[in-house]
Amino acid sequence: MSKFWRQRVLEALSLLVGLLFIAPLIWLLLGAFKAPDQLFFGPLIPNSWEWENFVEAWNSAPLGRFLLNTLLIAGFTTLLVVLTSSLAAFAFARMDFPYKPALFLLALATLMIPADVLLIPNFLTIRNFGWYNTYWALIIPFAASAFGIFLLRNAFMQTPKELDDSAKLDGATPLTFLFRILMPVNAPAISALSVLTFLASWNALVWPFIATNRDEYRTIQVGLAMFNNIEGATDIPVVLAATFISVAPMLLVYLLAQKWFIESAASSGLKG
Amino acid sequence: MEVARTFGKARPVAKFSGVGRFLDVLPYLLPALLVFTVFEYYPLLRVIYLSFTDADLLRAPNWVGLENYQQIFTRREFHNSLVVTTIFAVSVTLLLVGLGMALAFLMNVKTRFQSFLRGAIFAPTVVSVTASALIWLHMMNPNGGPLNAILQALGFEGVRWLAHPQTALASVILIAVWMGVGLSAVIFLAGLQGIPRELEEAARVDGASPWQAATRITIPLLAPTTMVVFFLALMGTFRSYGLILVLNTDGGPVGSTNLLGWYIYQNAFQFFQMGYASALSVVLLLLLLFLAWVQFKATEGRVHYQ
Repeated sequence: MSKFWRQRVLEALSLLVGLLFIAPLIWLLLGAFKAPDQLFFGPLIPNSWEWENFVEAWNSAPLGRFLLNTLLIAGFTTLLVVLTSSLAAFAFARMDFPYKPALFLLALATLMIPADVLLIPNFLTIRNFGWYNTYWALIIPFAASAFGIFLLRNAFMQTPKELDDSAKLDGATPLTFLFRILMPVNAPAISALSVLTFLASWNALVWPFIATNRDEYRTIQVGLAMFNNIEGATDIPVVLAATFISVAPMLLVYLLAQKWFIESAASSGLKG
Repeated sequence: MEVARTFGKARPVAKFSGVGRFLDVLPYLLPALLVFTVFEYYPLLRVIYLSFTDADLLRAPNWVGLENYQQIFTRREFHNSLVVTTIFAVSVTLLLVGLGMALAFLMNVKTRFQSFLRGAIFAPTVVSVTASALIWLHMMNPNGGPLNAILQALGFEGVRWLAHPQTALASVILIAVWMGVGLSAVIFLAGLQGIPRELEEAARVDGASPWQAATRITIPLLAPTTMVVFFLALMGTFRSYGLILVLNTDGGPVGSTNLLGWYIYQNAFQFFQMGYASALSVVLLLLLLFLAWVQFKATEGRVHYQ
C-alpha cells in the first residue's frame, strides 16, 4: 500500500473511531430535543426541536438546586483537598521530624483501602455525628487525599531548595512561603489535583446516594438517578434533557481545556 | 565586602527543613491525618469488628463470631456474585488493556483528525456514571432503541440487552468499557510518547514491517505502562457497581449482573444486614489486597523504568 493511501486509511479510521466514541453523546443531545414518539421511530435529526423538554425537566425536578449543591460540594471538597494536601506535602517534602517515613506510609496506606469497603462504618459515623442529610457528610470525608499528598510532595521536592533560603532571608514564615511561593510555583501540579478532585466529586454517586435522602442536599447525580426512576418509563426525552443538563457543565469545561484534562488524567494513571 | 561575607557564608541560613520537633510539624499534618483517622483508619477497624456481629441499623450489635463468614461461603448468591464479578472484572480489564493500547497507537498517528480522535476517546471519561448509565440504558431499549435499530438495519435480530440474563452482563461490560477506555488509552499514549522513536525507526530500516516493529519493539517496551493499566483497571472494576445502581437491574435478571459491590450495597442498605455486609466488605478488601500483592510481586524486578 502506498504511503498516500496508508495515510488516507488512518485518517478515515481516526474519524470513524472518534465518531463512534461520541455517538452516544450526540444521540443524547438529539434525543433531548425529540417528542417521545419520535425518539425511537423518528429520524435521527429531530424534525421539530422540542425545547419544552428542557423546560419540563427543569420544572419537574429541582435540577437547579441539585446543580448548586453539587457545585458547592465539589468546590469546597477541592479547596479542602488542595489545602490539606499542600500542608502535609510541605511537611513531608521540606521538614525533618521523627517517624516521618512511617507517617508517610500511613498516609499512603489509605490508597489501599477502597472507599466501598468503608461504606457501612462511614455511614454509621455520619449518622452518629448527626450529619445525615447535611453538606458535611458529602464534603468532610473527602477533605484529604493520599494521592494529593503524594503528588504535591513529589512536586515540592523537585522545587529548588534555594527558594527556601531566599524566602527565609526575606523573613517569610513557613506558611507564607508555602502559600506565596511554593504553591504558585507548583501551579501545574495543584491544578491537576484540583481538576481530578472536582471531577470525581461532581460525578460521585454511591456515597451521596447513601448519605442524603432529601432534595435540599441531593447532588445532581443522585437527583438524576431518581428522576429517571420517576420519568424514565413515560417520557424518555425529558430524562435525556435532564441528563444533558447534568453533563453539559463538565463537557463544556472539557471542550475548553481538553489538553489539560487529558494530561492531568494521564499523570494520575502513572502516579496513582 | 565584609558584610556580604557574613551574610552569605558565616552564618548558614536555617532552612525550613531544619525544623526538628514534632509539635512544630503537627499543624501541617493534622488536618489530613484527622480526616484519615476518622474516615479511613477507624472505619477500617470498625468494619472488621462489625463483620463479627449481627449489626443492623436499629439494635446494638451482638458478637456472633465467624457466623457471617460461614454464611458467605454457604450462600449461593455469593458464589454467583463472585463468578459474575470475576467475569466482569477480567473482561473489562482485558478490553481496557487491549483496546486502550490499540487506540493509543491510533491516537499517536499524525492525521488531520488526531486531536479530534484524542478528544473524542477521552470525552466519556468526564461523563458521570449516572449519565453514562442513563444514556446507554435508553440506547439499549429492546423495543426500538438505536442499538437494535442499527442491528436490524444490518440484517441481525434485535437483542434484549439488559433485560435478558444472557446478554445483561455483556451489556454492562460494554458500558464500562466505553466509560473507561479513554483513560487507559491516554495512559498508554503517554507511555508510547516516552519510548524513543529511533528504536522503532532503526527496526524499520533493518527491514521490519510496521507490525513487527510494534510487536517486537514497541509493545515490549510498553510493559511498565501495560502493568499499570492492567492493575489500575482490575482493581477498579472489582469494586465498581455504580452502573448497577442506576441501571436498576437489581443485580438481575436472575443474578446475572450481581456484582460484589452491588451485593454488599444491597445487603447493607436494602436488607440492613450490616454485619453480613461488613463481612462481605472484608472479603472484598482481602481480595483487593491480594491483587495489590500480586501486582507488587509481578512488578518487582521485572519492569525497568528508564
